[in-house]
Amino acid sequence: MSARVWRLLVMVLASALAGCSEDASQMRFAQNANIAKPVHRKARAVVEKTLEEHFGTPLDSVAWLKLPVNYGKAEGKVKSVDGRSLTVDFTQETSDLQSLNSPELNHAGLLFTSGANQGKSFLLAGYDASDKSFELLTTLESTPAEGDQFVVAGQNLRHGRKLYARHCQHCHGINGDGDGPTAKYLNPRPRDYRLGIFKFTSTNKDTKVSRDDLKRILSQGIPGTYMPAFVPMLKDNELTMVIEYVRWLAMRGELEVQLLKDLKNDYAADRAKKEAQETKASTSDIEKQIAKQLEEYVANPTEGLSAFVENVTGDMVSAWESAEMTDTVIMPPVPRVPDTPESRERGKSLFVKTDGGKCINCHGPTGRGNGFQTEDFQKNDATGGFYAKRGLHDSWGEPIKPRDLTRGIYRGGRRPIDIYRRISQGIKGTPMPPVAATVTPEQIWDLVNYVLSVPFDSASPKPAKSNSVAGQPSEQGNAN
Amino acid sequence: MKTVDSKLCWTMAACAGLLTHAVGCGNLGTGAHAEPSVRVKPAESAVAKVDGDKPAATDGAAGAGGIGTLVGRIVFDGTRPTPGVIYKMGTADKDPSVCSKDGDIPKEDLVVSESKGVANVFVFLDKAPAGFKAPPPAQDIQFDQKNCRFTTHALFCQVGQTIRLLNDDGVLHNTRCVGNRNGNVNNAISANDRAGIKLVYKRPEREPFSVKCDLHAWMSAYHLVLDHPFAAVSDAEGNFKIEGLPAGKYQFKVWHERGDVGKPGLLESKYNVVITSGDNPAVEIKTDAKKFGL
Amino acid sequence: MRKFWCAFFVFSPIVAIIYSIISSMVPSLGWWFPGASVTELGQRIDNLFYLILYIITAVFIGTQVAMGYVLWRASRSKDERSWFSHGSHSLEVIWSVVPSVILLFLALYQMDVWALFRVQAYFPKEAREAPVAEVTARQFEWRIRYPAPGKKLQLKPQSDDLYDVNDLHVPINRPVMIQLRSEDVQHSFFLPHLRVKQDAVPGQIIPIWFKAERQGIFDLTCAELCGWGHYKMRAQLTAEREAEYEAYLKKLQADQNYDGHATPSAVAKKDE
Repeated sequence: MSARVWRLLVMVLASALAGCSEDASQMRFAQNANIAKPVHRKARAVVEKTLEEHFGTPLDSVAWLKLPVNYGKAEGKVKSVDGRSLTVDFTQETSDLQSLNSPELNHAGLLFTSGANQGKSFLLAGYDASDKSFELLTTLESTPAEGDQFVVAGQNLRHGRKLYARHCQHCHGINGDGDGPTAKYLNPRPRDYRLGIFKFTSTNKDTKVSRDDLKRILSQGIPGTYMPAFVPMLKDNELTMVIEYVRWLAMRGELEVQLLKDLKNDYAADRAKKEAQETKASTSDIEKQIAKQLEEYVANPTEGLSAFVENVTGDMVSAWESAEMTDTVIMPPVPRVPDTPESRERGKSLFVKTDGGKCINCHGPTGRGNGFQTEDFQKNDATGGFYAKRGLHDSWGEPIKPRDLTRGIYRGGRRPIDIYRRISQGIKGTPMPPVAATVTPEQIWDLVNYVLSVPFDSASPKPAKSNSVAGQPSEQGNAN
Repeated sequence: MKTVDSKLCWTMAACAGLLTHAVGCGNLGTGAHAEPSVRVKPAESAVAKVDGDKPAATDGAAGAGGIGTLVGRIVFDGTRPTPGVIYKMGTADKDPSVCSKDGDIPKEDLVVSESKGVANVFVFLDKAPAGFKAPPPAQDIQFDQKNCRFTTHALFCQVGQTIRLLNDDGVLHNTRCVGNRNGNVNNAISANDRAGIKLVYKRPEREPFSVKCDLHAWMSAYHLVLDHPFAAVSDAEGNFKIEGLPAGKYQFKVWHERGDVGKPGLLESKYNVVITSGDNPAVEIKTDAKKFGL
Repeated sequence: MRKFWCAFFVFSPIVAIIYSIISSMVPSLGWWFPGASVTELGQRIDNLFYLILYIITAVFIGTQVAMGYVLWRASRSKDERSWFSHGSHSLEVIWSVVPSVILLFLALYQMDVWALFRVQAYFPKEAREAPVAEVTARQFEWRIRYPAPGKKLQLKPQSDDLYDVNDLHVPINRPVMIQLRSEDVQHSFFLPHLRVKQDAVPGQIIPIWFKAERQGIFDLTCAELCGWGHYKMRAQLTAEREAEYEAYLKKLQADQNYDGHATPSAVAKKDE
């Protein structure tokens, strides 16, 4: 064949095979850029390394048993070993035997807690329920003896990760930062889990979100935002897996924030420059000093990095665990006051009272969300200055508008108990304050009755003494 | 020749099409199809617990050299900035019946006295001297607000110490304290609440954090929570006193809400002081106007 | 060589004929078809579908056989020359009139099914007068608003309306109508088992009626590409007996008025 033909053949084959190489996209947890910015890059590297040690990467995760995450744990003792196959006995009380039958057990982890392999984690290939044996993916370095204790965990995390990657990642991001590929088209932005704050909870103001709350959000979606309902698409057990993964991401984010904020004090990004100016030493010398100090900090067993991580994680664990206790859930002590015009009037007067609710400051005299606070410049805690834009901002630094009560869209739920909880405990992460300490439960119910009636008010109420824009008569808007 | 070429072309094109089609049909095992693996990490790591009876380090060994007091003054180096006002008396446009009723609401982000003393500066030890342990003081601290202004602009308290959040105004205030280790503390305090709401910080912070009222955006204060008593806030004249320091060498941090060129931060990150038993010579910490962003 | 090329080019038509015969049997085998229709009107739509399918298959087989014959004939002898035709008027008339007649027949035959499904004046009166729900499609879920039990659905939301998401309940054995809206972009309300499909156009309120003949949980999917979540915009239609339907609405009402003290119902997704 002529050279022309050969060239053509080569070109065609090359273009056909061009896309055949393995996709080079690496899934990795990006760092919390805003909080990491003022931190020295060497300290940031230390934080990355610590997080990788305790949480791993998206495709090589670490099921850290200290965290109150349901990994699908099974504990027990080795009965016999046969090459890569381990026959075992389980500790019935602490084992989740149901999840061992899940196909996600493949690539889950088995950790030996005693014996020759103590402290080492191996990947599983599968589980045979008939003879209670595990199949490992790799051969063990040392043969485990009979009676060696082990913990199997991670199948729930794997399942959760897969579901999360398929359904949630494109908005909420790989590390739960609410900055996935589709997030830039969304207003309001998807939740950033890394502060550990979730807005619509049933727990009190000092407690984290509970699993039930997260399940509710997944089941009902959040009307008025881009968060859809995932039921009936996701089955009940799938919801549980996703919730565990989201909590795991939130804990990872919280640890990252704490580490970065702590290291910022001693290892600021501009420390080398500042010290060089003050002490007239060269920046490279100071950089060496910084590196040495960091090494010492990391290595120090009692007052260094590991002790700090212990403390912070201890706090985090108890915070998340207390969210599951029933005594942190807000249940109104009295039933709802009957929804009469008198009750609504009382609620309305509380709403506009100047020494009372202060609701109109943000929500405006007619509840349209146009109170004067939306025109003020608010202080930015992080930088000490003021936010560039007027109006309120949430804990994530994003502008946030007070709810327009005339629309009838209640993001946290439209049941009376949901509105009660919002008023009583405020909304975490937003300027909505908890007023439980300043009003009685009956007064809160009056407010609830008023709030629920606002979309259906046909008369425009007289605004209380204030300087903001006079209220417009509320129209009956979209209720969903 | 031309006919052969085009036939060959078409055959090759067909092969290429089939190949791409075949390759495209599979999944590459990345993204949502990736199979993650999980390693298990035990809950307990090999961290030795802090031993309270460990031999103390060279600085601040309790009892070895006695107890001393540090007295000092923060001095402003430059032209004294004129005191500013957020709202003149009676001009507050929020709750004017209460806010700014009794007087101007001053700007408190940089308060320099006529004698050039800087107020509301925190002087503190980052960590307690080795081996130091003491329970928090039993008495409450009062954190009040009047005229829609926090009466204490800079407050130092210890872990476990009770702070009473009070309200001396006829309007509702809420007090939101945004610490790192202490989470988001948010309390609404009724009008004229003199009994107050109890607030206890459970963890020490590395630096002072902001306290604000969501209902009155200009209200601002700073709290510092430490697990030891070796800190002080400079008064209106810039004077501060820290008592009970075990003798030794110390590095103090000096912090102000405009200490990092106008942003909250450290004026001095390592202020070296040697403490001897008893009274120590007064220190004068000079702070350049540029440090405050002026 | 000629026979080879004849075979080569007749290969596809032969495969196509086999394929079309199989396809016409597939619905009854339940391979990809969503089974027998749950509504009577849907059954009539299915009948239309089969009718058209059989007519088309017959015509298709005819044309392919004709083409195959022509190819085969031409490949038979080297010496036979093709003849040039100046056109045949009668042939042209036949193959214009016959398809037109078939199409006209189909168009007239299906008119009443179309009217029954699409023209509001032909909707069953009881469905038209009392819509059971307003279904709002939004990216990427279906939000449903029912009137309070005993009340009529109003255009504007009422304070006692009941809300749900992704689970539309309807009673069986009576015609029901829903009002379809869209909150953002075009979606399509598709009930494959009931043979109901209607685009949801933003700005319009479109009535759709159907009558489920048996109870069950059926898919409600979106059939108009509406964004990156279109493929997961799956909900369900729960067709249940009248008593259960009313019980469901009462439960929804109790849940929606839950204040922490009334007996909470045991619906899993509204658990406390």
